[in-house]
Amino acid sequence: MNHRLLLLVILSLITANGFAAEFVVGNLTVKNPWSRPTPPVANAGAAYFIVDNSQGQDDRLLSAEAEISARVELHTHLMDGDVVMMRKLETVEVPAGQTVTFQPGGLHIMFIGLEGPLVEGETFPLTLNFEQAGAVTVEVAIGQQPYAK
Amino acid sequence: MRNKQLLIIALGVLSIAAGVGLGRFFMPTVESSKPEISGIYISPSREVENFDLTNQSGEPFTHAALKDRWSLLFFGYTFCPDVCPATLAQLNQLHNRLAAQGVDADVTVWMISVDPARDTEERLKEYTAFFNPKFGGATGEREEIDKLAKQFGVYYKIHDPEPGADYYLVDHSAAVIVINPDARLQAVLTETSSTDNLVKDFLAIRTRYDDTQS
Repeated sequence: MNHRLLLLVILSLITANGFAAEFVVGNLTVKNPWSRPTPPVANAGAAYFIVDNSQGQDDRLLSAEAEISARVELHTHLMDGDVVMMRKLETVEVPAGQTVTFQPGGLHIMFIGLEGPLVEGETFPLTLNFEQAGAVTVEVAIGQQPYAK
Repeated sequence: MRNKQLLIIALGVLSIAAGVGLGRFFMPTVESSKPEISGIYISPSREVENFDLTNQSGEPFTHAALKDRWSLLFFGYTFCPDVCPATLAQLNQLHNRLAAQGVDADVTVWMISVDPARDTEERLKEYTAFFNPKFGGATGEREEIDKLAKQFGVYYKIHDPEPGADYYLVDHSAAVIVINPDARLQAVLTETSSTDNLVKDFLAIRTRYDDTQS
């Protein structure tokens, strides 16, 4: 518990100072996980991050887990002109030598049936299950997008 | 891999088709030269036919609400986890920037919910107020929502829940509709991810309107 608290404090300091939060698993690095704050009535939310696979082999994100909602799914958006179509994905490919960016209007982890609002300045743990690299739990910072759009 | 390529090609074709579609929709009135905006400037502005919706306070939201002010309309739904919050956050930034210049008092942002089955007035009120207490929300009968959406070339589609899913998804146009103080359609903004662009586009539209009034 104390370790967890210490981690949270360190992470929030890192985020507050604008330094990249990075989580390494196998050859993958998950950078800057973040979520937008949600209105109290919202029952859906989303998380984003960058997966850097510049060192690794072909991998794929199989699933994600979090305590903050009833369901956690992998989603993307397809654009048809100015029409946004959100679709559920079974997996997300993370090819060797590439960086996959989750961001608004594109790939995202979707939280359905939020237990409560996502509050600016707070963080929550999110576990990402990769086929090759394995599972990694990252702390998602609730706030504004920390990397370029 | 093959499938992925096909998907990309299919999406490309769809995007072009959609672009042509939107262009055609406004073709007779498109003026590409000025003002230059990320979207479609409509000149002469187009009449908005009456509609009958209900706002976040339970009051009627009709054509009359659009008069004597600038209205920015966005069609979405509160279950939307990504594009709607992103767009409303951008519109809040726009509103703040206009406020800093003292030109926000006659600008109202509305989220029109295309999902009345889930979005009650109370939900809409709390949802829009989270982004900016001055923002409004409105929804109503499917027929009335369609009446409004169709006039702007706004498309949406509500999907059936997938097997085993306890929710359904909604495809929707992410454009921001700009209505001038004569309650007429003046522009459709299609690129809302940059606050700078939004501010620049809106001020350009507004300046052009003011010029034609004098």
